[in-house]
Amino acid sequence: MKNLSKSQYRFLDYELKEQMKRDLITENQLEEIMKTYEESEGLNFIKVILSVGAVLIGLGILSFIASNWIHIGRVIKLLVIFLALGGTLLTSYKTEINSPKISKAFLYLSTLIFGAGIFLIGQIFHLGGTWSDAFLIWTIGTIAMAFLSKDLLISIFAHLLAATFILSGFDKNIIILGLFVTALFYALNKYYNYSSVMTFFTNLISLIFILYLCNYFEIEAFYTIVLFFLIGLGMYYMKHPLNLHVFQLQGLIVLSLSGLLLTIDEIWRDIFHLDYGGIFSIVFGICFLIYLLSLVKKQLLTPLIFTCAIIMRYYFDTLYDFLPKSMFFIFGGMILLSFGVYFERVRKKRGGDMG
Amino acid sequence: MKELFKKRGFKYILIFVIFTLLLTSMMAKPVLTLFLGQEIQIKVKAYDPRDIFRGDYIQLAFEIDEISVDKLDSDIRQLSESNLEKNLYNKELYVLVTQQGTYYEVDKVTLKTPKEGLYLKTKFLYAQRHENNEVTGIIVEYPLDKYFVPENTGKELEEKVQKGEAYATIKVFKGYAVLEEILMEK
Repeated sequence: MKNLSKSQYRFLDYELKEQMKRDLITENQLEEIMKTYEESEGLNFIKVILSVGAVLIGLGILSFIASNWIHIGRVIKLLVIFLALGGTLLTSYKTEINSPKISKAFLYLSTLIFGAGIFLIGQIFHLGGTWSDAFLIWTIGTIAMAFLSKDLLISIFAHLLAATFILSGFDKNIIILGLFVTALFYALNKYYNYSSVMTFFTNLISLIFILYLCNYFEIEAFYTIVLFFLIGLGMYYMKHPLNLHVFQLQGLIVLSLSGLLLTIDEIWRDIFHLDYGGIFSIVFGICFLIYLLSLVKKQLLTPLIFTCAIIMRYYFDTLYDFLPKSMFFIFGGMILLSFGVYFERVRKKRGGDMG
Repeated sequence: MKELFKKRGFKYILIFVIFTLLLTSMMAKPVLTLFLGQEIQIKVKAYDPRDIFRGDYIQLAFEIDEISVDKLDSDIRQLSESNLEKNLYNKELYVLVTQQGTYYEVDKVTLKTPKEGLYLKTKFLYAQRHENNEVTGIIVEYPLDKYFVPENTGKELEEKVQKGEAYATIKVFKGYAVLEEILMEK
């Protein structure tokens, strides 16, 4: 089933009804067509207010735990956490049918209270170290919640927690745990009908995990960047059924960012230990620029942004010391303005699509 | 099972059970250690930062963090000195401690779990070297480096700790240690 925004869904519905009035399609056909689409929930004012309220209360509880208030004993604090967890989940259950938005807000709150419980235990037992395990446990609990609630916000929150877990465990061996969490997220994608947003965040977790592996196995910066460049190319060109447009957009960003880094001569010098490491970077820079321009020719916006970034990077590096400051800024401004005008034209032609 | 999952209330009970199990699993080792572990005292050094989630704490370093080379077991000494950091990186070490007067001090450090004696599990941090690059000792890290205190109350305790007038009471059970409290010397 294809997910459409509210306005797209209404437009389609209106147009098909018009076609039905003209007898171009039957009522059955209209219903069959509309069954293949679903209306996205979109942003709802009440939902936003309730969610923000739940988050604020959750943050308040986290902050209260952090203050380690001396007048309440540790066992009482633990009891409060378990009671609050039970209370919020029960309220969510009771309100699910008649007030689904309130029910969701209480689910968000229970996820935050669960996090507060983790940190309270850390505080009670003076658990030391960087404590990336706290974020692992919070992630696993939130993934379980995402599986059961089918709520996109909770799922995104689980991804953010997983990212924090991997980033805070860079000097630890978290290979198996990282693989496990990443695999869980891809399974969660299926559960969420392969939502584009989910795929975007799951890919992001995979990329962060690959970065962790490169760091853990002490792979040199040059090879890490080359690896990411190849991953970017793979994501952009490999054909598969899982949200191809998301892979292509992220692939373009990854290959462009890593390509931009490979135009820095120090990165090549570190590997080849040569005085002419700069030549490699310049040759790469020219080839990369030609490649990006070939993508720009296909009316893609992401490569256009990075083409602009590469030109500005060379412009700053080579001309800043030689040109009078006024000329430097005028020419720099003219380059940016030209790109801006071209960018706007491409964007209008593509109807705002950033691919 | 599928029928059970379809029941509206079941998922709420399941999530409560999952959250509770995760939280209690975190407490299992520390609680077990507090009940069954042996209590010992070790000397501490400190400073006072803040953790955004867990609040104010005193960052602790212990005298048993610094281990001279003569305390290292033969299997550690056999490792190439030039590559000591690489060979020990992220490896679990076992620090055997014995009582010397009031406090416990390092007796020996091994790579294998000791068959007898009181020991703490630790992680290698870095090697201390002489000017001629010879290894003189190693620095290790225990998961006991944070002592959480109520908000804005760490300063006084920290000052006393800095003067070397404090010690930590910890409980140790099968190598796992839990920090109980920081006390002032009389």
